[in-house]
Amino acid sequence: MTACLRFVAAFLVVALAIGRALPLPEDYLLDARLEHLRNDAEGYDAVIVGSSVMYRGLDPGVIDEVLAREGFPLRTYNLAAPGCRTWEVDVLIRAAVDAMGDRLKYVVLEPGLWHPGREWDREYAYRYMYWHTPRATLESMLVTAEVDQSWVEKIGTAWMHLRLGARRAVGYGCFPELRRAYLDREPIAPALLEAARDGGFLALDDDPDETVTQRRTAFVEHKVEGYLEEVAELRRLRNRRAPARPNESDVVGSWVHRRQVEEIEGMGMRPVFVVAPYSRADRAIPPLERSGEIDDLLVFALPDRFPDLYALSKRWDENHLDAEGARLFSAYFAREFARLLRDGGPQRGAKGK
Amino acid sequence: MLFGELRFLLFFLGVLAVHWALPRNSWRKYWLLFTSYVFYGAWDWRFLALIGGSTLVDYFCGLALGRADGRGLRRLILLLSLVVNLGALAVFKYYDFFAESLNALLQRFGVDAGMHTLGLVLPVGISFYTFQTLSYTISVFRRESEVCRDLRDFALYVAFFPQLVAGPIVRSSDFLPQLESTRGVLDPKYRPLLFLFLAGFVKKYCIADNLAPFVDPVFADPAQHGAATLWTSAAAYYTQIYCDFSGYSDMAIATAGMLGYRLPLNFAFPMLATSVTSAWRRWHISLSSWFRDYLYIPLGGNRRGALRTSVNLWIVFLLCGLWHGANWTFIVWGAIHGLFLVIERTTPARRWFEASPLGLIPTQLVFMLAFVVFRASDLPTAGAFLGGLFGSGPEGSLEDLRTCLTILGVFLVGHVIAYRRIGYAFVERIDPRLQDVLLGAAAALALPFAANAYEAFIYFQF
Repeated sequence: MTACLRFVAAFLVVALAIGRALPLPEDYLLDARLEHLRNDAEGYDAVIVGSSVMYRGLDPGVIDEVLAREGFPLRTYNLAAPGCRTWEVDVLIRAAVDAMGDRLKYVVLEPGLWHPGREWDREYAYRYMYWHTPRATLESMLVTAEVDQSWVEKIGTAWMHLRLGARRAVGYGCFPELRRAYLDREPIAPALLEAARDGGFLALDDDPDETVTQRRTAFVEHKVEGYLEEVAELRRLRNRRAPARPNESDVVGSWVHRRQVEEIEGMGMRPVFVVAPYSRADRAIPPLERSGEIDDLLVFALPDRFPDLYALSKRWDENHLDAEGARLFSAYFAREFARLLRDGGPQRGAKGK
Repeated sequence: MLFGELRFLLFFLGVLAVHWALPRNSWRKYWLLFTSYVFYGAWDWRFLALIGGSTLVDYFCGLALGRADGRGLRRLILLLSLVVNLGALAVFKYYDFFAESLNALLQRFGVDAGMHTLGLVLPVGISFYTFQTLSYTISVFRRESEVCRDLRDFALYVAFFPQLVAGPIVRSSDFLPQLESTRGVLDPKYRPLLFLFLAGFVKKYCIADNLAPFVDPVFADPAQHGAATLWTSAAAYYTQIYCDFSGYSDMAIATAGMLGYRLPLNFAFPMLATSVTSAWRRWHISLSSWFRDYLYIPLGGNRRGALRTSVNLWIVFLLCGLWHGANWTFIVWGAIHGLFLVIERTTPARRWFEASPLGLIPTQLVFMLAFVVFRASDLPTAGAFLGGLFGSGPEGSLEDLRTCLTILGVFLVGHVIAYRRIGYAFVERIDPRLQDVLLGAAAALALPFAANAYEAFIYFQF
C-alpha cells in the first residue's frame, strides 16, 4: 500500500507540475495577446471576449475613437477568438484580469453560447483541453446536470469533460505545445504581432490564413442565396416579435448566465452582452433575453435597424463582416455602449424593436 | 476500450480491486469472466453472442473428444470445431474478399458471377480468439491437453480481457492450469509489471501513434512523394506497427500479471534479428508458433525433403498473410516472407547472415519493405510506393521529416538500451522506495509525449 502511495504521489507531483507548465493556446495569438496585456503599462478599461463574430467584428481602434467623441475616453482590447465557448471565455476573463489588474471595468461578451454537449468537431484540440481547468471542468459537469438531456447523454457529456479535465491536469499529449512554448519560440509574423499589440483585432481581409479566403470564396459562390433567406427569416421573426427558433442554448437555462454574471461582478467589473449581426443570430439569443435576465444587452442582429451590417457589400460570409463592415459594427457598438454608460446603471439596452 | 484511455484505467482499477478483494478463487474467476464480457461488449455488444457461441462449441467439442475413443468420431468432432470456428471467420472476414475476387476474375472472362457481398462488420479480435479456441480443440484431439470440464474456466480462457482482442494467442495448456491455483494479492510483482505496462504505453502512444500522422498521408498517395520521404515513411511504418503491436502485448502481459496470470512473450527484439528465420522466432511469437505447431508440422514440416519443406513454408506464410486480413496485400506480404524463408533454408544465406551483425541490414530491409506491401491499401499502391523508393518525386515538409526521424532515433536508442539491458542493474540496486517514486515520475513524464488523439491498435482489425 505504501509503495502504491509513493507511486501515486510521485506521479501526481510530476503530472501536476507539467499541467501547470502548459502554455496558453497560440490559436489566433491568444498567448501573444495576453502577453501584450501583461506588458502594457497603461492598461485597458474594457475587454471584448467571445467567438469569431466578436473577434472579426469589433475593432478597438474605432470603438475607442467613437467613445472618446461621445465623452468616454476608454481603452478597449479585443481578446475574442473563433470557436470560443463560455468556459473558455471565463478562463480568458480571469487571465485578462490577472494581466491588467484594477483598471479593467467592462467585459463585453456574448450571451449563453455555451452548451455542454459532445458535438464538438475538435474535441481533442489543445484549446478546448486547455480551458478544462479543475474549476472549469467541475462547473461544466455541474451545468451538464442542469441541461435537458437524457441521463445517458448527461453521463456521456460529463465523462467527456472529466476526460478533458484529466488530460489538462496531467498534460496528456501536450508535448508539441510544451516544445513550442519552451524550445521553439518561433517569431510571430510582424503584421499579426502588430494586430496583437494594436487592440487585438484582426480583420478577415488582413488575415493571411488561406482557409479564411476559402471561406469567403465558398460564401460568394454557394451560400449567398441561403444567407439572404436567413436574413429575411430573421427580419420576419423580429418584425412579428415571434419567439426565436429552437436554440441549443435553450436547454442550458439561466443558471449558466447567472453564474457568469456573478463571477464577473465579483471581480468588480460590469458585463455588457452583445449579439453580433449574423444571419442566424436569432438562434443565439437565448430565452434569457425574453425573460429579462440580461441587464446590459446590446443586440445588433436587427436587419431593419442596422441594414448596412447585413448588406452583402459589408459581409465576408454569412457569419462575419469584412473590414469595412467591422468598422461600421464597431462604431454602432461604441455609440450604444456610450449610451449605456451615460444611462449609468443596468439597462435593457438596444433590444429589438 | 483502449489500454491508454482513462476509462480503461478506471475499469482496470475497479476490476483489480474487486478481484483481489474477493476471498475465493472461484468468485474471482466469475468476476474476471463477467468483466471480460463487459470489456468485449464495450466494443460492440452484438458480438458477445459470437464469442459465446464459439466458446460453447469448443467447450462441448472438448468434452465430446474426452469421451470419444474411435478415431473416426474424434475426427468428426474436430471437423465440427474447425467448420464452426473457421466458418465464422470465413463469413465475417473473408467472404466479401473472395466474392469480390471471384467476380473480378470471372469478369475478365466475360462472365458475370453476380456474387453479392455481405458488408458485415468484422468482430474485433475474432482471429485471435478463434485461433485460441482451435488450439484447445486440436490439442485435446491430439491428447496433448486435458479436457476442460468447467465451462466458466473455459469461457475465461477464451475471453480473458487483457489478451482478448489482440493476443498474445494463449495455449490452453499454458492458461487453464493457472486457473486452478489460488494466488494472493501480494504474489504479482507489481513493480516490473508496472514498468512493462509503461514501456508498452510509451511504445504505443508515444512512438507508434506519433508516427501515424506522418505515415498515413504518404501511404495514401505514395506517387506524390519523393524517395527520402518514402524511405523514411517505410521505416516509420515498420517501427509504428512494431511499437503498436508489441506495446499492446506488453500492456496485455502486464495487465494479466497484475491479476495473477502469466501470458506468453509475443516479441523478443525482432528488429535486431540477423536473419528472416530468426526474426520470425521473435515477431508475433504466439502466432508464428501456432502456425508451426498446428499447420507446418502437420503438413510434414521439414521432414519430407527440401522441396516439400519449401512448399510447406509457402503454404504457412500465405495463410499467415491471409490471417492478417482479406486483401491481396496481406497474401503478397506472406508470400514475400515465405520466399525469403525458402531462400534462407535452401542457400547458405542464413548462415552468412547470422554469422555477422551485418545480417541485420538485409533482414530488416526485407521486413521493412514487406511491411510496405502490408500497409498499402492495394497492390498498385504498394507498387507505386516501392517504385518511388528509387524515384525523384517531390519531398514533403522538412519539418515533418525531421520530427519523424527524431522519433525513429529516440526509438532506436531506447530499443538498444532495452536490448542491452543498460541500466537494469542500476535500477535493481536502488532502494525499492526510490524505484516507486521513479516509476511514478516516469509515468507522468510519458503522458505529455502521448499522441493527442487515441488511435485504435492496428492489430485490432485482424
